[in-house]
Amino acid sequence: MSWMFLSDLNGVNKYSTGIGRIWLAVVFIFRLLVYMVAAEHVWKDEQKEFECNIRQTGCENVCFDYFFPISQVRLWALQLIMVSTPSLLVVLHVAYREGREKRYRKKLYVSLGTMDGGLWYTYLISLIVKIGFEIGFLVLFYKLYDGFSVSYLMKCDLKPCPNTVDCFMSKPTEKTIFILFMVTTSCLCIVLNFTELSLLVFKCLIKCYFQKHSSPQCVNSPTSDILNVVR
Amino acid sequence: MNWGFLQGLLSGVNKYSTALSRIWLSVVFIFRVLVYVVAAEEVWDDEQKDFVCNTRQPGCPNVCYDEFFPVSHVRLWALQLILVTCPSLMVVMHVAYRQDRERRHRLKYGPNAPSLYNNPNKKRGGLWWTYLLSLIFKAAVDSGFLYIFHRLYQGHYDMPRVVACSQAPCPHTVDCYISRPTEKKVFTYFMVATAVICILLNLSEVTYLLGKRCLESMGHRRRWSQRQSRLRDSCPPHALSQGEHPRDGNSVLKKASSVTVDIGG
Repeated sequence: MSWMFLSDLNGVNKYSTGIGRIWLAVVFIFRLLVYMVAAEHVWKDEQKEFECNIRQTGCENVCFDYFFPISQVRLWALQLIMVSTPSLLVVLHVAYREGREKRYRKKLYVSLGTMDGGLWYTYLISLIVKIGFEIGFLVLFYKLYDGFSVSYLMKCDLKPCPNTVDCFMSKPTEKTIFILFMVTTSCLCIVLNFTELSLLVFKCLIKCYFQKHSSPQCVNSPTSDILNVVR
Repeated sequence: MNWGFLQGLLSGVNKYSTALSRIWLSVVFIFRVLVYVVAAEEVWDDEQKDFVCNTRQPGCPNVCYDEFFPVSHVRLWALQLILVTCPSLMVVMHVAYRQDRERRHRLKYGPNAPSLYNNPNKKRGGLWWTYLLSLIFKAAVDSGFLYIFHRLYQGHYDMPRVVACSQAPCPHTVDCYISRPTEKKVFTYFMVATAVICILLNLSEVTYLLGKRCLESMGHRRRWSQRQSRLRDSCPPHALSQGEHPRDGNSVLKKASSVTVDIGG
C-alpha cells in the first residue's frame, strides 16, 4: 500500500500555520490510520457477504451494483487523496522560490517559507480547494447512499430478479459507526480549514490596516520592498 | 504489488525535469499509481469469481469470462504505468553516462583539464534529444494503451451489467453478469482521464522545448551574424578563414562543447 507517499506531506509541516499542523495530525491519525487499520477490513468482503433471498443467477450482482455504484471505502480513499494534494501546492511554491533564489543568486525573500506575497495566495487557494473537496465528497456520499447510515435490509426489483427480493448487508452497524466517524472527522477538518482561512485573512487585514496608518517611512520598509519583489 | 521501488527510482528524475515534467510526475504518482494501488486493484480483486452466468453448464462462465476480458483491466494498467515511467529513466541514465565520462576524462587528463560539459545536468546536446524522445515515447505509450483499451473490450470504455455469451460449451446464448460494473466504469473513466491529462502535459512540454530551442537558435544566429560583421571590420582575413575569433584562444574542448550545442539544436 503506497499511502506512505503521503508521509512526504510531513514536509508540509514546515510551511504550515499552527492550525495547519493540527489539520495534518487529524488527517494522518484520525483519517488515514483509521482507514488503513480498520475501515478497509470492515468492507473487505462486502460483495461476497451481500446476499439476496433468491437463487436467480445475476440478481445479487445487479442489486449490489445498484445499491453501491462505488464502494464507500473507495470513495474515502479518493477523498483522502484529493484532500491531501492541495498541500503539495505550497511545497511546490516554496521549491519554486528556492529555484528562483538559486537562479538569481541573491536573497529575494525574507525566508523561503514566510507566508507573504504569492505564497500567501497559494496557501489560501490550497485551503479553499481543500474545503471544496471535503464538502463535495460529503455531499456526494450523502446523495449516493441516501444518508450516512447502512441498513441491514434493502429491497431490489431489478432484472433479472423475478420479483422484489430482500437483500441483506453484512456488518451494517459496524459500517454505520465507521461512516459516522469518517463524516465527523471530515467536518472537523472543514472547521479547521475554515478557521485557518479566517485567521489568515484577518491577520492580513490587520497588517494592511496598521501599515496604511503607520508613519510614511514604513511604506518603504524592507518588508514592503520584499513584498514588491515577490509580487 | 510493490510500487515503492519505482517511486524511489523516479524521485531522482525530479532533478533533471522541467516544471511541466514535475507536474506530470505528481499526476502519475498521486492520481494514477496511488489510485491504482489503493482502489483499482481491490475493485477488480474477485472479478472472475463474481462473474456469474445464468447456466449450470461447467466451463461456460470460464469461457465467457475469457471472451470478454482477454486481459484484465488492472493488468493492462499496471503495464501502462510501468512503460510510461520508464522513459524518465533514460534521462537519468544519460546524465549518469555524462558524469561517468567526465570522471574518466578527469582521471585521464588530470583534475585541472577543461570539462567536457559546461554542466552535465543541463539539457544540452545529446541530453536534449534524449529528453525529447522520452517525452514523445511517454505520450505514444499512453495513446497506444488508450487505443488498446478501446479496441480490446466490447464495451470500449464502458462496463455493461450483463453480457450475452454463446461460446461453446454454453448450450445457448446465456446472460453473464459482471460484478461491480458501475464502480469499474468509474475507475476506467478516471484512469482514461488521467492518461489524457498526461498526454497533454507531455505534448505541451515537447512544444515548449522545441519553441525554446527555435528561439535560442534564432537569437544565436542573429548574434553570430552580428559578430561576423564586426569581425570583418576588425580582424585580418586569415583568422576568419581559420574559423576562430582572437579572443577564443585555442581551447579545442571549449569549441567542441559549443559545437555540440549548435548541432544539438
